[in-house]
Formats: sequence, C-alpha cells, structure tokens
Amino acid sequence: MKNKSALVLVIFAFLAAFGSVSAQADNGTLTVGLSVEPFTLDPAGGVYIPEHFVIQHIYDPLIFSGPDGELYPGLASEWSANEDGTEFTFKLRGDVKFHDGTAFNAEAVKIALDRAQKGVTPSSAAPALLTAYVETEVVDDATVIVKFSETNATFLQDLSRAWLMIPSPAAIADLDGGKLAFIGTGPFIFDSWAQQDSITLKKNPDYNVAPAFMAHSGPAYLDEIVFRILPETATRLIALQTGEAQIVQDPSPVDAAGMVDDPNVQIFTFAAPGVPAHQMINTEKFPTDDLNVRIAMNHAVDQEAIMTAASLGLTQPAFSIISPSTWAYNPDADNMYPYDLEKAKAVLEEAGWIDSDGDGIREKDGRKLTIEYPALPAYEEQFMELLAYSLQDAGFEVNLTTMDDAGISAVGAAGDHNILNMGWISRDPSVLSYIFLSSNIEGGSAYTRFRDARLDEILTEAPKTVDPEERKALYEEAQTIIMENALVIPIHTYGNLYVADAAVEGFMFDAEGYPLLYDVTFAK
Amino acid sequence: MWNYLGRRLLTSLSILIGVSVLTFLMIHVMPGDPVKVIVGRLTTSPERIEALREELGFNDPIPLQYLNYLGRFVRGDMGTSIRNNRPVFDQIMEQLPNTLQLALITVTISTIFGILIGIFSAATKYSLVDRVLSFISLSVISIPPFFIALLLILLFSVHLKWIPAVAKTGDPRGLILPAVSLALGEIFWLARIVRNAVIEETNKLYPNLAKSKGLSRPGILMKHILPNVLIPTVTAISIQLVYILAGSVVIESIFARQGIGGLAVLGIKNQDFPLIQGTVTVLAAIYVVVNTITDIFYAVVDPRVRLG
Repeated sequence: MKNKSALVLVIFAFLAAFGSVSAQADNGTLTVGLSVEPFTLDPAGGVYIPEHFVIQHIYDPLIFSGPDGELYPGLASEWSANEDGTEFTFKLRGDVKFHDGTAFNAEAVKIALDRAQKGVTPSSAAPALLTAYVETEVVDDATVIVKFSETNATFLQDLSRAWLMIPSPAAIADLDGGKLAFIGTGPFIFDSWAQQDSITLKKNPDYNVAPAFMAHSGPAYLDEIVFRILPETATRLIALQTGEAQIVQDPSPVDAAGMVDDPNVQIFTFAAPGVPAHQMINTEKFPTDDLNVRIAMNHAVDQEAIMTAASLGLTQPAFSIISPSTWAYNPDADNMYPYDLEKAKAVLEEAGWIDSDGDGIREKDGRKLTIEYPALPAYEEQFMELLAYSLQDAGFEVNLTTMDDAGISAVGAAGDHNILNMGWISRDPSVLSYIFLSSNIEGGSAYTRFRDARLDEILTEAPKTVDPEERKALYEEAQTIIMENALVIPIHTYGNLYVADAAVEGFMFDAEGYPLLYDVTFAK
Repeated sequence: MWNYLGRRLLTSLSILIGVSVLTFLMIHVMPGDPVKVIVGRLTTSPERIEALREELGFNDPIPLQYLNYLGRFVRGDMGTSIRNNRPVFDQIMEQLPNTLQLALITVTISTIFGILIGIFSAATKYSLVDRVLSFISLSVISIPPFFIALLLILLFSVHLKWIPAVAKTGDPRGLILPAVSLALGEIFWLARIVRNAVIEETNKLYPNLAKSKGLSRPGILMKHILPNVLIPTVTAISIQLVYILAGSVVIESIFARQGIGGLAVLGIKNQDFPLIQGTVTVLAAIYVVVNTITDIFYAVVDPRVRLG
C-alpha cells in the first residue's frame, strides 16, 4: 500500500506547511541566494547587478567609493588630475599581491584598462565608461597616468565600479579563452563555479586593501561565501527558512512585507541613486507631441498609490528624473506635477481634448487620445497595468502591448511608442546624456526624441566640466528642462531588497546599493 | 531487419538535418538585423556592431553561413556564448549529465513501480483494492509535478528538515525530492497503461487455450500475456522519458538544479543565440535517439514491424 501512504504524506505535507523554522549558519560559510546568475566574473565582461555583486568581492578598484559618496584609496594610494580633467595620475600600492601570487603593479592597471575599453563581449558595460580613453602610460612600477581625449569628470567615481577593477595580467589569456580564471586582489578568492548551481569564494588570508569606511581591516571574517543561484522566488525563501541560505536577494514584496515583524529575519533595502524607472514620453508622435497631453499624463499618475499597491511600500515612488540620493539632485524639479486627476482632466479639456462621443476616450479634431505603450514585463510587470488604468481614468486610451527586449528595441528605435520604460542606476547624473542627448535619438536610447539646443549643450558640456559647482548647476538646469517639458513620467526609484537571517551582522550597501560582505559575521 | 534499420536511421538523420536548418535560420527570421537582435538594447558603437557582424560571419551568404555552421557543429564546436565567451559545448556538457541522471533515475523508479502496480491492479481487477488504486492514480496524475515538488519541500525540508531543499549539484540527497516529484505521476500513468493492456490481453482467447492446456495462472501471465503487453509498455516508457526530459526543466528550476533545459531557457532570456542553437539541437537529438531506439526495439520484438 505504498500508494496510499504517498497520498497520506501529501496531505500531511499540506498540514505541515505552517511550521516556521529558524535558520542556522555553518561556521564561517555564508550562503547567499542570488535571483539571477552572473554571466561572467570577468570585470571587463560584466553588465548588471549579479556580476557587480560577486566581482567586487574578488577584485579591488583603484579607488573605492564609500557609502557616504566620498572617494577612498584602494589599489591607488594617491591620485591627482590635470586642470582639464583629461589626465589622471595614480600612485599605486606596492605591497599588494594577486591571488595567484603575482605582484600588483602599473602594468596590471594598463592591461586592465586597455582591455576594459574594448570590452570582452557585446554586452560588456565597461566600454561605455571609457569612451574617450586614449591610453594608460606606465611611468614606473608604482605610477600610471590615464589619458583621455576629452574631459572626463566622472572617471574617479567610475573607477570604483566593478567593470574597471583590476584582474591579474597572468589570467588574461585564460579569461579571453572563456576559462574561469577569475583572479584579483580582493578579500575573497574565486574557488569554483558550477553554472546554474553555485559560485564559491574562499577567504583571502593576505588581504590588505580594505578601504577605511569598512569596520575592520585585514582579511574578511567569513571563511567562505557560496553564491547559490536560486531563480525561483519561492525556492529562495525556502532556502532561507531551511537555513540553507543566510541572505537572499529580491524576495517577492508580498513575502518581504509579511516578514517585517519576524524576529528571525532582517530586511535590508536600498533606494538606488541615478535615473529612476520612468516612462519616456515620445515628443514627436501624436498625441504626446502636445505638451498639455504630457503634463496631463503626469498629473493623472499617482506614483504613491501605484507603488504601495505594487510593492507594498518596499519600493519608493519617484517624482523626478533624478532620485534624491543622486549627486546634483534638484529638489525644485521634483514633483512638479503632483497627482491630481481633476487637474489632469482640466488641462486636457482646456487644450481641446473632449470626449464628444461618450466612449470614455477623449478626442480632438476627430483623432483619439490614444497612447501606444510597449512594455517589457521583466521590468514593468508590477506597475504597467496600474499605470494604464491611471491614464484611462483621465480619458486616455492605452494600448498596452507586452514585448521582449528585442521587440521593445525595434519599436523604440522606430519611434512608434508614446511611452517607453527607462532607468539607469548611477551616483552621477552624467547618464542623462545617454537618454536625452538628441544625437542619441537615432541608434541610441533617447526615446523622448526631444530636440532642444540648451539641453544638448548642457549634456555635452557637463561631463567635461571639472568644477563641481559649475557642473552641479548645469545638471540642476537639465532636470528643470526635462521636467518643465514633461518629457517623462517618473515611476519608482530602483530598490535593492535583501532578506537575511537575524544572525547576520555587518551587512552593508556600497554607494550604488551593491552589498559588501567583507564585514559580515554571525552573531553567536 | 537490416533494411528496416537502414531506413529508420536515414529518417532520423534527415530529422536532425531539419532541426539544424531550423535552429540555424532562427536568427535570420527574427525581424531586423541579426547583430542588432543579439546586442538588444545595449548601447554599442557602430564600429563594434560592424566588427561583431564580421566576427559572427553575418557578411557571408546564408547558405555558406549554414555550411560553416554545420561544419563547426559536427566537429563539436557550437560557438561561444555571446554573454561570457564560454564555449557552448562545454556549457552543455556541464549541464547535460545532471538532466540525464535525473531523467534516468525517474524513469527507473516509475518503470519498476508502474509495472508492479499495473500488474497487481490487473490481477485484482474490479476488486476494492483495484478501485482504490484507480482513484489514487487519477488523483496523483492530475497534480502537476511542480505542485508535488512544493509539497514535498514543505514536508521534508522545511518541516521535518530531513532532506535539503536546494542541495548543491553532487550532493546525492539533492536527487531524492526532484526524482520523486517527477516520478509520482509517471508511476500511476504507467500503471494504468500496464493494467489496461494486461486486462485486454487476458480477455483475448489465447489465454483460455493456454489454460485448457493446463498452464498455471502465473505461467500464462509470464509466458503469454506479458510479451504482448511489452509493446504498449515500452511505448509508454519512451514517451515518459521524453516527457520527463521536458518536465525536468520546471522541476530543476524549483530545486535550483543544473540542467540543460535551464541552460536553454537562460539562452532564450538573454538572446544568446549560439547557446539557444546548441541546446535546442542537443535536446532534439536526444528525442530523436530515444524515438529511434524505441522503433528499433519494436522491430526486435514484433516481426510485423520489421517486415512491414
């Protein structure tokens, strides 16, 4: 009667589902449940959050950026820039060794930056940081000069990103051949990677590069970090419950909200700086070529309510093109169009958009107020329908079409959209150039298709402006221009969400919201 | 027999060539420039796009591209993933053993228990035991494996803490729950087929003849009925193997196990065309091989097939 007992077991499982389990960590091994597997741990090949997270535990940057936004010495002990911000001189540390035992020196920096500038795959993020890169001059073993053909005001900050961290020159040939030769100077040594399973890092006992903003120096506390790839949201949470993982990434907001009061877990959230998730409004396509229509759309959207419903308040709503934690954030451009449905309707009526046939959709000169909304569920699933409903309430017709990445690219490039999702995590507002410079309309990501001489001037000049005050003023003006012309509907800031066992101590986010596990220990 | 075998193998080969043409053409039937499709929304300079086009061979005429592709493929060179430069062949070889291991263990479990339960049901046909078994069969077959998997995890991992929910690859305990989740429905599905086949054969006239010649009941079952039941059973098992290979994608993803299905999904999500081409072709080849072996088996046990 095996079969009968099987059924009994299933029923019993149902009843047993309500038990709660406290997690416990293995001595010195931290298991982190990742929602997305990295493509590679080659700094010059990485693109997104999972790569950054793991890479920054294996490699070190020339300069660290602290959670306070300040710069701290890393592999470079001192640095200086020339007056036009085209040449950067770095004094390098002479007492650092790669995990393979070879010495870190000027040649390693040159090889790393030359390689990063080319990128190693079509999707590498590094080349975009080094567009005007000319060369790295090796002055002596402990000094390099990095040269650009034009001013690069963000280079020092960009250096802290994983994409420009320094791999061992001895490993480059293997890396280029697709081998798993991830050798850096960082607090953890790459041990193994079983694809779709896990990445294991071991403690680097000789680590001596920890930046001053960390709570300790010398080797990390943990003996081992296992990044377990757990793409299923339910499985990630189960792993935390069974104690098989101590930190998990991106729980579902519903689960996380339910755990806020659970003494066995702690929740870490981070509101990322940069360009929040927003809809870019096409200023060349009917009917969003009308400024009044764009303003009305902004008044019609209640970001607060949408994000409360979509993420149970764990993701912050956004009201401007730059999130408040970003350098040069301009509060005057924030919330220029507060939610006010009546006002939205009034703006449309005044501009001649009237629902004359009573079908709930406004018309003007016989043409309907129809918005083409191509959406990518991977990024927009939580809010796309609520956004469409908000606009419908004000008398818009919204054609919401879900597509894949390639489809969105095609529609966006052709300018067939009225609104299109965009966003960019960055400490510096310089990324605005990618999405608003009119030269990026054809072949780039400037999906608002807005052409304004002054905005172009600002976005071209600001990255070359060395004086911080001057630069700041330029970006503040850019934010005002973008919001006054209602080029976007801001939706939410990007939030990083991690759930951890209550015993995990020393967890911190870096300035862009990537977790740093160097200080992590387990409470006894 | 050899004639049949030759024809059968030729059919399989032509299917494989068809698969290779389709997977090769996949990228060319996507709307737009294939290089742009690969690069997606990433910001890439026109020079890099041009270099990539040359590197990936998109400047050649399409028939030549296909022959180059096929030539490399036959030599085991499936290209490199465009996201991490790792050889696709290596990645498949890393994942495939886990999928095959899970599938074979599952099929073994379901075959043993399925046949035993099926024969037992048939032997006690229309009794209370048989009716209870039929009811359980219907219930278990109706529950999708992923749901069974979640229930098993809740019971054995979360509540009882006997078996890890997401054991790493290489930990044998990690095979138990996935294999049971996949096998449970298959056991009862196979049992139904075996039961019905046995009953059908029993109702024919030849067992009566055997009985009148004085053979015992177990003797009739083993010598006369079971060989005739073999064909539907083997068909069912081969269908199950293919079904389990497909179903394992979901189970592997729940238990966060390595597997070729997950690799294919990863390729599709990231528009990693070399990876999609490689995994799809290998999966198709496995199906073709399983079906070919099944057909050859028919020919071995059933003279009508090889003579037909």
